[in-house]
Amino acid sequence: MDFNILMYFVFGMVAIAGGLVLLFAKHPIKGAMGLLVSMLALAGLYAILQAHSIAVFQVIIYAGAIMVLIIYFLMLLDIKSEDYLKSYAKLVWTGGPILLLLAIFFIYKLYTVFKGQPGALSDMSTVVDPMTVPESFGGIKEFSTALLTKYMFAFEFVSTLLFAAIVAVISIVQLDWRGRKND
Amino acid sequence: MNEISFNPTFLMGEISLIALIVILTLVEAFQRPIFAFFGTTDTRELDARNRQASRLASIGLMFVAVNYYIFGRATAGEEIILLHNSLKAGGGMYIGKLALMGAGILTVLMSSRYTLSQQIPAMDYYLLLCFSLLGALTLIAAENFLMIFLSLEMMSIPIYALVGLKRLSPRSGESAIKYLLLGGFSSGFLLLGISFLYGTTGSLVVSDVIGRLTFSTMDAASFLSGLGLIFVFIGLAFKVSMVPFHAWTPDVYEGAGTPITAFMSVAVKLAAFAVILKIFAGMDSFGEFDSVIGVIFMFFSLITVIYGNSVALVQKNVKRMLAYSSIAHAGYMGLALAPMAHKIQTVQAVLFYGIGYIAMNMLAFGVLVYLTHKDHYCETLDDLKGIARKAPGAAAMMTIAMFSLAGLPPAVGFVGKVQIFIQLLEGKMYVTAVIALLFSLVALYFYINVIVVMYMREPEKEIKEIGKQSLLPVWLSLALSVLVVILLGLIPSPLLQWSLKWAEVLF
Repeated sequence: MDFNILMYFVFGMVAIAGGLVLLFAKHPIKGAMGLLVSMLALAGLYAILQAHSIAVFQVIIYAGAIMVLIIYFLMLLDIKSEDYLKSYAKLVWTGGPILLLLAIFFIYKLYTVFKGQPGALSDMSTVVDPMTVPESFGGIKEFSTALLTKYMFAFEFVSTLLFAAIVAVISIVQLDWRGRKND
Repeated sequence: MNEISFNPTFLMGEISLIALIVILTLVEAFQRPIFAFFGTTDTRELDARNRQASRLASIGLMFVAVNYYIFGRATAGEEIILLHNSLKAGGGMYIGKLALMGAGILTVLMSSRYTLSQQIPAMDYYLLLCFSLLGALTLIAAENFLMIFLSLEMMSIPIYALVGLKRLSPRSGESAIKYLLLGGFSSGFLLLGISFLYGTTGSLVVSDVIGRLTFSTMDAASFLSGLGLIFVFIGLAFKVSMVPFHAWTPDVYEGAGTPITAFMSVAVKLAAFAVILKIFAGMDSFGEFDSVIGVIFMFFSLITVIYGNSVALVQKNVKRMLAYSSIAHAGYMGLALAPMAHKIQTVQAVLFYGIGYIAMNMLAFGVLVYLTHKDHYCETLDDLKGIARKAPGAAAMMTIAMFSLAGLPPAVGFVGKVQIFIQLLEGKMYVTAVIALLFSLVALYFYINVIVVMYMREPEKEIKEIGKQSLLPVWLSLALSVLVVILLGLIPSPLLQWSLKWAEVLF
């Protein structure tokens, strides 16, 4: 088996395992660690798919910055309440089987479809085959060229969106909560 | 090749709106903060600042709309795709953007009274409203899925905060959290759907994606892209609050400030519907999947109509009643999509209905804002009892709004509903049409009930004087919307032609 394909399965399994840990962990910090593992495995998947810049961003932004934020908030909130953990466990045990059924249906459907047509996706002329992309694909140069030409408007629009989000957060945070009456 | 095609006149509305946002931000930035952390608030200073902010925002937004009305007029002749398939502009998009700006102006006008009575920090409020309006404007113009997602977030994120800004009520914070969590969830669905569509077609541009989808046989690509379409539909159906993605609507509409509820129920709904139409009605290559999509629309829309109208029957709270009524109206708009044969007229009917709905719903909520003041929060049927004696003008306006919402002539709601039913009948969907008609008769009960309560019931407690705080802008907004409701009801043809033009742009 090709090394890339082997690593693809390894990273995929690790990502799923991380997700399961996140779902079933009793303690929030353990869940956060599961999420971290899942994110790092995803970065590995991106790297295998030739998207090197995205892999780097995944590690820096998600596994780095956002994870720190999540753990920081877990620390601030300090969730210890037994009731909360119990009600969460109830949620998982009721919602979990439904999700599992959906997942089994999805996988079965994909399996039957792909069994009928091996290589169905790469046969479609419009889909980019990861094995045939140019050498420079996914590099920082290609990435930034696309970002600043083809997607320039979206890029600028995101900055406006971030500004809107900042205004939204500040307007909520500055409220004088002590002035609240009950209605 | 890398030349950036850009013609500013086509984006005059968005550019002047961004200029207004910058001005508002700068004005706020050079004032000292109203709320000292852990300190008490000086209400008199808050009131003065709110008055100033309201004046600035309403004049500014009117200026933006007039600016677009004058400069955009020249662009209505041709369609153009701007900035590497990011936005489409020109053509009939003109009327859509003007309608959304109109919704924004009406909201700002009625907010000037509401922010005073509820002590909401007004400058933040108007800034967020302008951001949300900007998102709605780019959403209807978005040409690729990336811009659709970004504009949808631009439209929603300020609204999450706006819902929570009503500082005198804890319910407002609760509904903001509910809306934020469910909204994030639906955005996740939308993104997943977009990524499936991108994966199977290799493009983000809506027209390319639609052109490349093939549903001739049930192969892997069809399965994945069908799943993608369903997820995209879920993400958008959440925003227009179609059953079964409606659960947030009553709580959020009730908890949010009344002008915000009005804005959410019209502008967000119209913009999201424009996107649904762009994706789902613009398809020619459904193949045998075509009828399936039609059935899906018929099923969900019919359930939405039935659910919205029947639950609205038992509501004691007018805002909650209007929330369920807005669910039902989303159902009517969706119903027109069920017969896929008459495409362009179908889209025209939905767009006409959406624009008319802006005027009538703004009128209904405007009356509630008019009757709300510092000591009296008007939102239940009991609050409206016998109000006709104290405020005959407002009661008359409410009557017109209820007539229009119920779909009675001579208001715009009648013309809109007739258009929808014509589409259903031409599509030979007689059973659906009859059921929808029956449930609009059911709806008649709770709309007329409001009128009965206002005119024929004795008030339980003495009605306090209607406060005099900035009544002029509210009157202006009521007058504008009542004018639109009646005029469009009597002379619908210009708007019908414009909506046809808009429908042509969406394809």
